[in-house]
Order: sequence, then structure tokens, then C-alpha cells
Amino acid sequence: MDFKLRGTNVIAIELLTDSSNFDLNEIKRFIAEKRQLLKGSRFILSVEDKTLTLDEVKELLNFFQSVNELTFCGFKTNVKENRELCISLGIPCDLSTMEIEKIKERADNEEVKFFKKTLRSGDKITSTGDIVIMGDVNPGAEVEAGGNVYVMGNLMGFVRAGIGKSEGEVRALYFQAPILEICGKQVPFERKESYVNFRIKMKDGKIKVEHKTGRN
Amino acid sequence: MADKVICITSGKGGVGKSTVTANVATALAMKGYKVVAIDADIGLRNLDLVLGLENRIVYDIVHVVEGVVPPEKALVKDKRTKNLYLLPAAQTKDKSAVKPEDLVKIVEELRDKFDFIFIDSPAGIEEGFRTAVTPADTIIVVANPEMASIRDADRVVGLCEAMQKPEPKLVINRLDPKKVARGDMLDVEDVLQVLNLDLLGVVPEDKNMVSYINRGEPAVLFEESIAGRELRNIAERLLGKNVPIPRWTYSESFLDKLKKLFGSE
Repeated sequence: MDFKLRGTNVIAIELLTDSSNFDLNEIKRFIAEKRQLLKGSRFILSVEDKTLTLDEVKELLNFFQSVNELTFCGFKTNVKENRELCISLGIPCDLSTMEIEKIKERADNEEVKFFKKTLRSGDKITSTGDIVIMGDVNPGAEVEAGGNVYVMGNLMGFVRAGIGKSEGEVRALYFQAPILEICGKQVPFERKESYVNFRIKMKDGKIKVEHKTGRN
Repeated sequence: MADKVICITSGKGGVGKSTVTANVATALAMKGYKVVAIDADIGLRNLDLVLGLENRIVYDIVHVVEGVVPPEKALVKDKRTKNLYLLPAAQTKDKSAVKPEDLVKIVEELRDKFDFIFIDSPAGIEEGFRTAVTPADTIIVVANPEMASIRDADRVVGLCEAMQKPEPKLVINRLDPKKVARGDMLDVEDVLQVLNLDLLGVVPEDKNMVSYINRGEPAVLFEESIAGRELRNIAERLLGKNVPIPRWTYSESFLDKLKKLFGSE
């Protein structure tokens, strides 16, 4: 298997892996092959979308220490757990730029709006940030949010969440809406289907729906 | 009695606003209260038909607004029920002929002379609806147990809220217990789950209703009418009496089962 190498702005060489091609033995073999190329360089291992286990990290560390040609400088990842694991072991670990961009997406001036009423048909509320509704969203009502939407009641109307963003979520205690839009993607639901403790989440371009069994 | 001006509305057309208005007004008049029903559906007048007064109209609400006659002169007295009066709508004009302030003025003139003033609102949420709702102390929303009607009623409730009116009361009309039992119709709980309003009454489907309307005789006049009985109860509840709302359930009779067995529904 071939891995990609690239130079970074901190004068280091970065080896890129992700969930699809992460394989300990392959990485070892690849580095052993490229020993001459990597001679004298600072080395960073980038791991995207894959959660590392403690054993994997330890094995990688032992391997890098055994390779005299390069100086291992740490990990780079977009997964929080990896970063926490590395930090607990005292290894440097940076969040990748992708993750930093996502954090920047949530601007500081975004508002969080609270509504303590039931939204009736024809009502429309908007917010540049998150919306929390203490009541129901009836059929025909519309909610538009730049951030997440939380409904502490029945969600039966139309919700458009995460407008212009790549991540967002919608939660409702009870959900029975025909369609919902999250981060520009439309998600239709079965007619007359209802969900309890409903949650829909958009992360890394994937939509994940979680709920308890329907009420009926 | 603070709530004497009652507006009956629904958003959607054909759910039974005029029928409920005519029947509840008649039921209250039968109990001895002096009642006037104002038809605010200008251009599509039909409350007079339900009350059977179509051949006695000389002046209408637009004549009153234009100052041709005072409101008392335009009132049509009901032929059967003492104490019941109708202020008919004009059929030749449209909804812009009566402004909210005109109706408020008419209602204020009639307020001292009557115990109850009913306003039959037009369908829709435009000018006509606003005109009808503006003078009201109490609003009754009529809805059928079906999604289109519920959504429109919900919209109307939202508009009433925006107009800073007290929360409307709900009348569910044309509930068919047989269809509910079969799962073909929403039940009372389903309607209340969305609308979340005070329930004033549930009027069951009555196959004789069409003939009562065609004859111009409100159903409350007939003891045998099941819808009429419930409409009389609604009138009682408006008077503040605590009349329990019956649970409309349906259980298949032996005859029904037999019919099903032989496939003749």
C-alpha cells in the first residue's frame, strides 16, 4: 500500500492516513522503505477519521523511536479522542486544519434564541445561531437556524438547521415531520411515522438519525 | 356576562361555521336569551339559509355601514325562535365593503340590547376574517378531524394570538365515531395534540344535517338529532355550565358484524 507524504509549514514531513488506509504494518513497511528519503527530517503522522487505541499509539511510538533516520514530532488528527489520548501520554498532537476551520465556522457573534411558546401554522422564526423552543412546532410552522435546533416538545413542522454550515444537529422530544433540512440536505421521512427522543446529526458529510421507538 | 360577543371562525371553508353559529345561537335563544347572529361573510351570504330566513331580508349589513338604515332596522326576526335575530350579509358586495371599525361600531350599538352577539366569520385569513374577529370577546374555532382543517385552524389560532385576542375555544365538528374506530379519521386526542385548546364540544356527524340545512331548520330544534343534542350542550357550556363532553366511541354491533360477514357494507 502506498501512503502520501507532504511537506508542512513547520518544516516537517507529514504522512497522511485515514480510516480507509490506516494499517500499522503497512505504515511500518512504508517508512522502512522510505528511510533514505526521510533521512534527517522531522516527521509527523496524520490520522484522519480514525480513533487510535492506546496499544496502537504505543506500538507506533516504539517503532518511530527505533528508526534512527527521522525525528518523530507527534501526531496530527481531527478526532478529539486521539488528541486526548496523545496528550495523556505526553505526545504532541495538533488538531488538523480541517477541524480548526470547522470550529471557526461557529462565529462568536452567533445568537442563541429561546422561544417559550408553541409555534402555530404560519409562524416562522429565524436565528443566525441556535434555537431552543420550549413548546411544539405545529404542522405549517417554520424554523430556520444557522446553528442547531432543539425542540422541547413535538416537532411536526419544517425545520431548516445548519444553514451554510457543514455540521449541525436537530433534536426533538417527539418528531413527526414529513421533511427536514440540515446543512442544505433534505431528509424526507415516512408519512405518519413518529419518533421519540429524536436526533438528527450532520457530521463530515454524513447524516445520522437516532431515536427511540415510535410512540404509536 | 363579559363574553357576549362571540366570533365563530375556522380558516378552512366548509367545516360548519355557519351551521354551528346558527344552531348555537338558536339554542341560546330557545333558553330565553336575546341573541343576534351577524353574518360577516359579505358576498357569500348563507347564514340566512341555515336559519331559513332568506325570503325575509330587506336590508343587510352593507346598508347599515353605508348609513341607509340603523342596525335595528336591518335585523331579521326569526319566525320560529323568539329572541333570535339575524343581521344578514350583502350578496352583491365583497369583503372590503365592511371594515373592522364598521363592525366594531355595529357591535357596540347592539351590545346593550342583546345577551349574545354571534359573528359568523368568512373562510380565509384575509380582510374579512380580521373584520369578523376584531370586535369579538371570545373566539370559537371550528375544525373537522382532518389534517387540512386542523392546520388552517392552527393558523387562525396563531393569527388570533397575534391580534392579542384571548385563546380561542375549539369545537370539533363532523366527527364520525365509526370512521375513528376504523382508523380512517383522526380522533379527538389527535386534534387536541396539535391545536392544544380548550375543547368546547365535539359534534358528531349527522346524516340528517343536510336536510335540516336545506329546510332552513336548525338541528337544535329537533330532539332526535344527535348533532343537535351536542350543539345544545355547547350552548350550555357557553353559559358556564359544566356539561361533560361525551366520549364518541363506536363498537361494532352484532348486525354490523353480520353485514361484514356477508360483505354488504
